[in-house]
Amino acid sequence: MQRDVVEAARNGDHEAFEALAMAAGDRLFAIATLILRDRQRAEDAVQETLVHAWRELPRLRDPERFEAWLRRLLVNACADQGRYQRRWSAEVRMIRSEPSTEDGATSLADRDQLERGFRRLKPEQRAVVILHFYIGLPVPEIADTLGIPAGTVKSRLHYATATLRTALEADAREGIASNGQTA
Amino acid sequence: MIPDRSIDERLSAWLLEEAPSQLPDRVLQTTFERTLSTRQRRPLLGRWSFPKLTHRWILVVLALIIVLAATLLAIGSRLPQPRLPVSGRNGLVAFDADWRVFVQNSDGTGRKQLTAGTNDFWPIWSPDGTKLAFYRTPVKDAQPWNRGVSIWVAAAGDLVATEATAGMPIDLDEVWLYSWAHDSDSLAFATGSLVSSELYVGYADGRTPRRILDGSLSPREPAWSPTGATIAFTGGPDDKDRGIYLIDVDGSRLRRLTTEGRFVTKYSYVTWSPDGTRLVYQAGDPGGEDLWTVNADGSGERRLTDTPYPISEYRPAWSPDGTTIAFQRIDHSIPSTTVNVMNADGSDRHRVSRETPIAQPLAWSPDGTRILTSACAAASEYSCNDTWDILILDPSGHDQPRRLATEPGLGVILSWQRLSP
Repeated sequence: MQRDVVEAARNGDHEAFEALAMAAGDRLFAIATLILRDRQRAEDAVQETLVHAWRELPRLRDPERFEAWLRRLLVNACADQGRYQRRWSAEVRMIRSEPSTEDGATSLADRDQLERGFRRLKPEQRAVVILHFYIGLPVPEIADTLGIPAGTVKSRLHYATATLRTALEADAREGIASNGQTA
Repeated sequence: MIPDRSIDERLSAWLLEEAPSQLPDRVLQTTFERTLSTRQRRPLLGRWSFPKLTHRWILVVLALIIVLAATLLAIGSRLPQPRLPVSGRNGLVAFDADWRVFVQNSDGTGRKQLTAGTNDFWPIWSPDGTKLAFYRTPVKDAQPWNRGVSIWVAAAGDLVATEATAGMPIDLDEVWLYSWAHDSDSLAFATGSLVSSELYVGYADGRTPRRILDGSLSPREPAWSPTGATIAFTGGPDDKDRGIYLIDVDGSRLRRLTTEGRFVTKYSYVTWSPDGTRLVYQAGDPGGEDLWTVNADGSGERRLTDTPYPISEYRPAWSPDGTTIAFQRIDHSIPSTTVNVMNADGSDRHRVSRETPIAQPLAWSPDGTRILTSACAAASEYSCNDTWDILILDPSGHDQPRRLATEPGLGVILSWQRLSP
């Protein structure tokens, strides 16, 4: 079904392209927001991704690869957003999601720790983490999406989880120490 | 020790909570407005398959290439290349590293911090080489770090700086380039946000800045004409309709220079030819930008490069004698950036640097014999690990790039002081 729609869009059917874009928009926006940590930039990245996709669709040889191709365009668009910034890591701004509550799946302390740990990751590590832990892609599909070897994906995942673990453990130690001082 | 499984679960849960649920409708609406007016790029060869290579085909193709090359050479050699006399000697190189402004001789000696500031970045020498302007942020360690920045000016060799934007901290989502006036006494700069910005002229002696354009066109990246009375900038009524505009320094005679539909992105910028008769700018969808020139009266708009996505040409810099333009070329699919030089008519394009994942804007030496840039010393795929090489390039591409310094936390702007002959 989707193959037919992709082929129609590839042949210039704008309504077919709109259907594809509407189906993919929310997911692309979520990925971009998580990578960039900035909604305004994420909106820009999604828009540029979709415009590129429309222009370049006739060159997509295999319609079955549309999803992976679109995600790759998005990750590149996120990198482009970062390219114009003075410092990638310094520029990303804290985005406040919905008011957090302790009864959510993640506690307030966890959120802050994960936020801090995530900020220590490089953008390409964030992309791999998001594709794996948020989208749920297995390693070979991430490699296919990003156009990098599967071994590189594995090493990035390993490094990212190690970095997060270090950050969480450090925060946990600080918490214990400060609790001790208070007491 | 926190087990990996615990981290995986916590991370998955956090990402699910952090991810926004819905793309705003206006983004899709704007996207479709753009795609409806964008032509799809069809493969040149369609479904045609390349003929089997035979000796005859190879000979025919080679003969065609030789004839084409000879024709281009003959045409190129007849085109007149206006050349301005070189009127400057090379002085000090200025750059910022770790939020401090430094100057250094171009042979790598004499490195010193210009001011005592520890929140300073993006230094640019005045055209006469007597002053150095730079941004100062009050909150380098906060987010966003560029909120409330101001522009300061120090005399060359002087540790004391004067605020050129006194009384009006510049509120910026991005930090945009500012531009010195030809008389080295004034600067043009933009203030505001990604949504709306205004254009001001500030003064090196600290007088109150003067607004010359309101936020209706959201002006950014001003470039002061080298001959005086005009400022060019990128702007437009909305993001879908941005272009290059000119305005006189007194705020009069606002006019659009580029054709409507020529997509000038939020990140494009424009620079003048040294004689002030033409401008070069980048246009096209992000990821597929090309370089264009246009005469200062709006005539003679001309495309200098024409490469499809994912290749972009951007950050053009005109040589001091006006004959050549240096620019960066990025392949977004790798990504890989190179510095290139071409004649001002777009001919004789050649590469003058090695490939690097990320490189920064270019600055010509005042005598036109070298190009200054910086490149990642240690890069990851999409970003620089904050260690940069400052490089001096030969515009002819014959000499190997020379590393002037390696700096942690280098800023974007490098500037070369012009000394009188």
